[in-house]
Amino acid sequence: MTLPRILLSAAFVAAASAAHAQVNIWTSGPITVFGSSPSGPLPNSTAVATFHQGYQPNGDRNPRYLDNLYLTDVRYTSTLEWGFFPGSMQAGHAIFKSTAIVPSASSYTPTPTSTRSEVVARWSYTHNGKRRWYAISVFIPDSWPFVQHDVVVGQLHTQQPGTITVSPPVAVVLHDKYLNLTLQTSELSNDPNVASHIEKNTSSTQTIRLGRIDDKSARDKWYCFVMQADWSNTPGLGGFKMWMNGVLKYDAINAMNSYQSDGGNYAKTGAYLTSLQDLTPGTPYTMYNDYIYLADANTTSENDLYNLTPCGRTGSVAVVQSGLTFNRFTSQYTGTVSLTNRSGYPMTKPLQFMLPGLPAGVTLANKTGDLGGAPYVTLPNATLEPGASATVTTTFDNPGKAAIGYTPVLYTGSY
Amino acid sequence: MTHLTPKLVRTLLACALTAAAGLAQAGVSYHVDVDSTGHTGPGSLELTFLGLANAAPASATASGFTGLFGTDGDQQGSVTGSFPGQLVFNNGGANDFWRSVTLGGVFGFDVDFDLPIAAGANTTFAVMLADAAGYLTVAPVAAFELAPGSAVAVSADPTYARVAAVTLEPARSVPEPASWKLAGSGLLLMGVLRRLRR
Repeated sequence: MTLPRILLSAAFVAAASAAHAQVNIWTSGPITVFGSSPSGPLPNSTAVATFHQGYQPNGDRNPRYLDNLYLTDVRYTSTLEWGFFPGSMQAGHAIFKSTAIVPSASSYTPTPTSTRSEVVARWSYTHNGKRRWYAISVFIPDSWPFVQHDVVVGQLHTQQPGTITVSPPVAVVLHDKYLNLTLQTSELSNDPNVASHIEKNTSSTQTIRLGRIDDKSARDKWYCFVMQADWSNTPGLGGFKMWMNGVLKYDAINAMNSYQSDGGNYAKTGAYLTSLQDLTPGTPYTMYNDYIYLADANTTSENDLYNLTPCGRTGSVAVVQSGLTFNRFTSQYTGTVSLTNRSGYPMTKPLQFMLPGLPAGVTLANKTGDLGGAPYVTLPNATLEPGASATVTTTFDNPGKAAIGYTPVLYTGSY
Repeated sequence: MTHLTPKLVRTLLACALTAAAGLAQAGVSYHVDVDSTGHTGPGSLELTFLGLANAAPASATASGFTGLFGTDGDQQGSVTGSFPGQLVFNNGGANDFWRSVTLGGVFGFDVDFDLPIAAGANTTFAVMLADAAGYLTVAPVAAFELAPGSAVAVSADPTYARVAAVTLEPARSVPEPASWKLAGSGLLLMGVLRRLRR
């Protein structure tokens, strides 16, 4: 199977309208509209320094490097995969499977103190004095092994000289049964030759509780974080807002939120196990991550990004399922499905209409193939432009005359 | 009665008239003629009323069958009634009705619908015509697509089917007592208003 392109789109039943305001895709729109990366298997990366390549310290804009949208940062035995996993259904496309695996201390010198499996949105560095929007989405599986250490699942980090190590200005953190937002900032210099330069213990730290995940109903679901940052490391300036699953959770104005940085701040998502103390080597900590969406200061509403996330994207495609006809001679049922692109972005071919959840005994007679046990049909037409519609015919074998139901999903990409 | 302000009276009157107007709303009914001219021998006419499991609840009533129908046939699933009388199809499950015919003539019937008002997928009332070898057309010779909140979308193969909308008599079903009560109160208020103006 070929791995899917990164694309905007997809969906299922909905009547929600698309966002009115548009993301400026030149300076940093939804990165999914560009190119075909990442392609799998994703390589491990040991060169964290490559995060710093290509930024434009003096530029107002952060143009994309279109053929390489992500860098990966996978340490020791941890793994990062790209494909269809739990959570893809809502995302409407392939997602990242991030597994931080506790390494064996005796296998490495120096002894590992943490491990991670992360992806970084490349060329997204944003400087103090600029506004940037971000969306990071994580799917926490029911099997999540609770751990008494911080597991950072999304962060807006800061580029610093190699001798300076600080925690990220913004981090979404799982700690045991809690989901927290941790904010860190300092107004000190990032010049290591200055006596009072920034370091971890000179940063101010604030932790906000976003929710709990110990109840089973709080897992096997997406958590989508939309953030608006007016970056600043000057006291009295700056601002930061965060919406979780469409609800405003944090709002600060006239409050600095960053560090002095030559490169600026950038977004990461994945599983970063910050401590290995008392953990059993080989234990996997797996979660799933959607694309990182970025938008520039021209963005006018948090919904512009929220509607792209697995939590809010249900309105991007309008689906109308016709009634059925029955063929007595073949015992087949036939219907059509009309799909209308209600987003502001083209949905690029190939488009795959998937029918997960068909009842036992019902099969799709005209399927193109199966993925994860669900049949799909490849739409014959090309790109679905905003406002355009496509119709898919579905023919079912249903010898038991069962009630035919499924969850309509439009995927982009090829399998 | 003089303590009722004209504004209140007008509001109540408007409500009552609105309710009464609903009583007079015509139902949705169609007459279907399936024309098998040009074909001979044994055949069958088939009716289904089907939607996906998430289809908005709806029903179809077919009656007034005319033409050279035979005695063979079958009626399965969520169809009640008996041919040649009234057949009621419910989209809550699989259903299929077919009856043998002698091809060459015209087969007619009336159909009306209780339209879906809840959200959900559509339902199709389909009319198929077959000879001994199978259906004469790939698509139904006539089809009625019922979408929640929309008018019935009718399609017909001009070679085989003619569909005509029929205006039903206003009060096809007996109104609920409460509706009569509301309509009556409207008439009463009209009289009161008239009297007040004098």
